[in-house]
Amino acid sequence: MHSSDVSAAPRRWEDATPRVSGEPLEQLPLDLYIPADALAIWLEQFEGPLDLLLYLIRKHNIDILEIPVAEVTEQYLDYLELMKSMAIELAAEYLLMAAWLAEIKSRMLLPPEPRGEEDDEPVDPRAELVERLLEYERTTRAAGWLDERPRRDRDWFAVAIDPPPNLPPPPVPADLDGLIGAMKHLLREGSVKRAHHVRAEPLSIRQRMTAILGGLSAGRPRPLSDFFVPEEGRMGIAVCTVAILELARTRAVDWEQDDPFGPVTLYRLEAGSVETEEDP
Amino acid sequence: MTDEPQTLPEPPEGLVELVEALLLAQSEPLSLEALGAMVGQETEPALIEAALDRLAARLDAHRFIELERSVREGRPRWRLVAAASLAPYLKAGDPARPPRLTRAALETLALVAWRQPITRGEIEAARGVAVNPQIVKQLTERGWVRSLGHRDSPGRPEMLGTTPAFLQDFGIESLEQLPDFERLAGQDDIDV
Repeated sequence: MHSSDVSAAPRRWEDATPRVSGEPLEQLPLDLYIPADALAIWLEQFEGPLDLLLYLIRKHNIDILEIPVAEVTEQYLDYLELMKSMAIELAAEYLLMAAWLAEIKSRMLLPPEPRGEEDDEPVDPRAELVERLLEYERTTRAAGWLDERPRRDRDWFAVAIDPPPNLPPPPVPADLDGLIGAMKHLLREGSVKRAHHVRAEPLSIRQRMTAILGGLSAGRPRPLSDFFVPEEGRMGIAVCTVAILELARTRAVDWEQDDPFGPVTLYRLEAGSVETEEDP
Repeated sequence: MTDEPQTLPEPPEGLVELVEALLLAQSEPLSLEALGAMVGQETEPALIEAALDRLAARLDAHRFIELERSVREGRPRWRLVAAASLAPYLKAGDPARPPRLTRAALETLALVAWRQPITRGEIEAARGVAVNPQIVKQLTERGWVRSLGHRDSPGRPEMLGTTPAFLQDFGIESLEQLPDFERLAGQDDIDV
């Protein structure tokens, strides 16, 4: 058995001639003798109807501009029959192409349609097919061109060592002007915005909600001012307020105020709803 | 040592090693300018060139690693690569290397490269068969094809294009270097 020769499927249809026992199989056997699975493998490697059609045109040395549609259609259908008989599952595209070929064939029999305003040559019913075939031919050649390029991980491999993680930031090139400018900037910042040196990261609303609930754990009301930390500045007040509003929204806490502008007292609602809701 | 280059100056001690290490640490090909910026601007380009020259001479004897010189955007660039002779050894250690590209994948990639931005529908029209989603996925995963957004037409089809990694992995300087698509097959040469 030399079927291994056959299984090395050629990549392009130019050299798609199957070999059986080392001998090229140029013609389909006329008596329908099918050597092992060679034919099936060979037929399966067509990339679609355009590929099959191009193969037929090539094989019979046909001028692509003068495709004898009737003849090619017949051969195309023969191949489809053959593929069906080999139980190859035919994609719908093959049948669509068959229908298209039949349509072109019948159009060829009709007198050419006049083209309207200008007296150009009548449209060749095959024109679109030719364009599709040429486009596909270009695609296969482009693919071949790409395949011949030396390719990474096939023909060459990138050599790389990874630098250690957490490299320190590179030193910033500095000159005297830059240094003085930076210094001035810092001084100005310091004098104007001293109160604003609040770090934002530690203030998470979730965290604050938990802290507030914890502070109210005994069920005793506490004045609202207990929960504001002056050192945190405006951001702290904002986070605290949002946290309380969020808690109130989930019915975990509530507050009361006896007089306008008087002190606000925060208290916890009934024990059943104390969990901070992750998804309100 | 007689492999002293005549025109190039003597690189200072350590520069050859530094250049080698920089090339190792970067997977991108590096130009003289890029190397110069990393080594320090006070080092003359000629010295870096001399260092590269030394490195190339040293790696000449190396069976598997070579200093590859390419030209992109009009500038020579250098990169250290392992030659294909390494492939069988790598394969023995790691059988899960990228599979070879099928014809369908190559044709799809070719259409994306030449015809970008291109939609799946246009690929389908050109190849005459439905686009296998696995192929686009494979090409995307290998970093060669990316989405360029959606076309503002009915169905908002996704437009595909190639990545810089595609050019690099196939050793193509720029998309302009691709041969003219129309001339790959014309009406003149198909009826041979």
